[in-house]
Amino acid sequence: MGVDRNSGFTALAWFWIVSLVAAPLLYVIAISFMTRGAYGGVEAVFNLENYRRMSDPQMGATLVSSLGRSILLAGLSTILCMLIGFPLALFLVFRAGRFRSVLFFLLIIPFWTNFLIRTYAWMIILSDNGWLNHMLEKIGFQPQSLHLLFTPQAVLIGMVYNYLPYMAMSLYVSVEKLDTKLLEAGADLGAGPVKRFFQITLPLCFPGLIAGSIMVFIPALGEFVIPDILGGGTSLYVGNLLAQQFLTVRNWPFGSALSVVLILFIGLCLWVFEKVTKGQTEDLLA
Amino acid sequence: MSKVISLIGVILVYAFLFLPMVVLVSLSFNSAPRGVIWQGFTTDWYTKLFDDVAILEALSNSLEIAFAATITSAVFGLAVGLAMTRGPVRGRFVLQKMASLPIFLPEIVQGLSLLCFFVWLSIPLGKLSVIIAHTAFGTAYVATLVRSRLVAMDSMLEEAASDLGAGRWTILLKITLPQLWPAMVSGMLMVFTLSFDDFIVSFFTAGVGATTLPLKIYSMLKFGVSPSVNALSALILCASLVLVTLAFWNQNRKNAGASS
Amino acid sequence: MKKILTFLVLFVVAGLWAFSKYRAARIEIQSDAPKKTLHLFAMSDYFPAKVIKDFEVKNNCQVRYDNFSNNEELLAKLQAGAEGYDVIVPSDYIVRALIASKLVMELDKSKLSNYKNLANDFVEVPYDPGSKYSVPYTWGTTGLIYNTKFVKTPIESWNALFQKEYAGHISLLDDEREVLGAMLHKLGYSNNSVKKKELEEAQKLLIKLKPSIRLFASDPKQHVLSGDIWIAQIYSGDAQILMRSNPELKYVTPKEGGTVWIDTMAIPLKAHNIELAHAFINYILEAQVNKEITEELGYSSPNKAAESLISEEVLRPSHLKKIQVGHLEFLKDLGVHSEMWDQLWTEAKTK
Repeated sequence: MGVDRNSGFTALAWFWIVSLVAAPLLYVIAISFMTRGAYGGVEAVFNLENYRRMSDPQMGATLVSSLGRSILLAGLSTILCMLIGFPLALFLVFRAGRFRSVLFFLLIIPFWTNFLIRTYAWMIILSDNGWLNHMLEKIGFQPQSLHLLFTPQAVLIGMVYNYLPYMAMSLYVSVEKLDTKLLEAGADLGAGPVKRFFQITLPLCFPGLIAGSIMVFIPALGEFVIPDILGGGTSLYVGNLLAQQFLTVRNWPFGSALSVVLILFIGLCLWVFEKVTKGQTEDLLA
Repeated sequence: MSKVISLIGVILVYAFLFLPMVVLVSLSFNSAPRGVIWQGFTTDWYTKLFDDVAILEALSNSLEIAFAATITSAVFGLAVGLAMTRGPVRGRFVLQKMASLPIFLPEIVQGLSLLCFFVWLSIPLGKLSVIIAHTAFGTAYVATLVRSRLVAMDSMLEEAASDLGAGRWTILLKITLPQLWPAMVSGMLMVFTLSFDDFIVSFFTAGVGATTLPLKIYSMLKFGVSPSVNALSALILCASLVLVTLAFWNQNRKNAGASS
Repeated sequence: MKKILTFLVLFVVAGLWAFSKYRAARIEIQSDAPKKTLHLFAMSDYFPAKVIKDFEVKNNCQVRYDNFSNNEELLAKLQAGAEGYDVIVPSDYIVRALIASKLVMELDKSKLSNYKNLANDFVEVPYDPGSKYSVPYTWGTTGLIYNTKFVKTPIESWNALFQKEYAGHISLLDDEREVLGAMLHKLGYSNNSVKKKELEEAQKLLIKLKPSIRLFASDPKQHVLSGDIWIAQIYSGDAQILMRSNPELKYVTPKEGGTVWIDTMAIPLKAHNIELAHAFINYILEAQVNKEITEELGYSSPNKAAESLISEEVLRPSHLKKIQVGHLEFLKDLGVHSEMWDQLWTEAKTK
């Protein structure tokens, strides 16, 4: 049939895949087995040194703590996004009425603005002499300024702010598809709103929840800009560690090895997410 | 009662979402050279902005790169989308898995791997390297959208045309492409936005004369911010607002038309 | 409808692009002849706008000024093959690495007629024997700036960083050499130490100090001015600028030791406009130009011809002799030991 046999497209497709997706990654994996040159180049001396170094007590501890910190941040961000996003989605679908599309529209505007600018705005707000403290002073609230800027809390706020729209939109799509008749049936059978939520809404929205979580958790793991700008550079997250290895320390082989570890870890997370989704769907169908 | 609580909650959430923007816009008119205390109204920061060569250049760089990346991503994305659904069956699974990689991999890994790759191949870092890097992930987005459209599409029309004797290219141009067009447009808009906004991948792959707007803003953030940044932010906000309003209005008109 | 929307968007985008190109061109020199472009690669705000403008007019060219945030990034980008930069501004210890990695070219002194303007102290330098590859641009020190509004006792020593009452209001430079170097100085060692034991001690000290550190920033000016930071490790030029706008601020190089450094200009091997690059360096060496740079940036000058023109004593080249006594050290290239430094710095930052 016509287009199907058009090898031109397939060739083009494979060209992209090989040259821009596969090759860079394969090259990174290859470098991870090489050695750093005297002043920071890459020398083709192959060994497992970079990986062995990760099991070094000191390096290993560094790696584990920065990875742990990233997981914690990504996890907390995801949970907070869920806690804010779900009620928001529910409100939009069930309570907003004719304002629904306007509110949805308002939700995505922040998403469309430049992410550096959004983060910068939070610097102004959270600074010791910034907007938040200024306002609190006016109300007469705080005798001492809130130290928010350059703390992990500031980073968390920045993260949630940036990732909330992804979660909210994903949940919105899920909630919108809900068959209200099921909820009505539940009500008729005597279930209260809380029970209806946990036994009907939540399970049915689970795919949306997982999709939203993937969209937040995975990118958040590699995030280094928000911690850098709002966190003051006092804590190294995995992203910072990687960037540092490539740009400051100039140890590309070791940095590549770290990248490989991060990629594998993300692969693991995705696999877990997939398993969980399948499990849930099977339960529903049973 | 619960209605009031939920209303307050939603108001708080939207306040949270819009606070940064309101603060930025109001500060951009503040005559104070720093800080948040209001000292008077001025449009000076905006006029200073129009005279800042570095920022204007960064803006034109960003636009050029985004435009080029959109075109190349569209071409490759179409190819990949077609190959994923209509191509030789054996390759499809691999294509699908690999084509979604750029969407899932953290940007830092993509940026770094592309940097290493360019160095290895002795590709000089500059505007071209950024365009190539943006094409790498832009294609994935277009391909995904094209694929979902193709899967939902009925190939009957194409088969009919083929039976009637139409050649491969005719079928592609006159039947497949028009049907795919909405997906392509969405894809291209998406790539344009992603490219224009991109920071991390550009950070690693930019070279001489390829300073994009986000890169310029980043260096301004790190090295001392003048209120011109507030003015710039406010302008970008406005532009986004206009674009999103247009897109939304268009969407609503179509929906209203469809349901009437 | 979608078509109209697409057209609208394209129109707006094209308009924006045309506008920015037009404005940028209008601001620059109007000329029909194809202009050469000089690509300058230095830290942000390291060249006054007027100085660049005057050069553009004098030589009928354009100057593109790209930034890097620290010396290692400069080295990384050059090693990664970034080509097309004509003039780079590396710090003294990085020049060594650049020479060893064959990333910079030998300067043609015949094109640098103003080279004789350099003060004697800056002609023969340890990091570039024979001064074949680099020309001093500015020099300065690294020390502490503090806000007397919040810091009541004058600071003399690195110990001040460890005092409880300032915790949470301190910033350090985001630079492993300067930060670990400061710790080494406090312990009485050299900031170029390559002894593992000394470095580990310095690292432990840094880790102990970390909870009090609010921020690592190589340019803390905005945070000092906003009052978030009371004590900041800072470069002398930035300190000068801050003190000019806020007289409550004071700068000091702690008695245990600090850094004195020279920033230089060099030409990468892969530069495109070598003639223009030399012309630029020669231009910077002019007495009047150097005076303008010095007075605007606040960094000290290495230019003896400019000495009589410079009003502030602390910015004159001869000031080097006055402050070099004893406690200030130049940073030296660490060579193979840099890996050990990197490791310790990374670990300290991760804790």
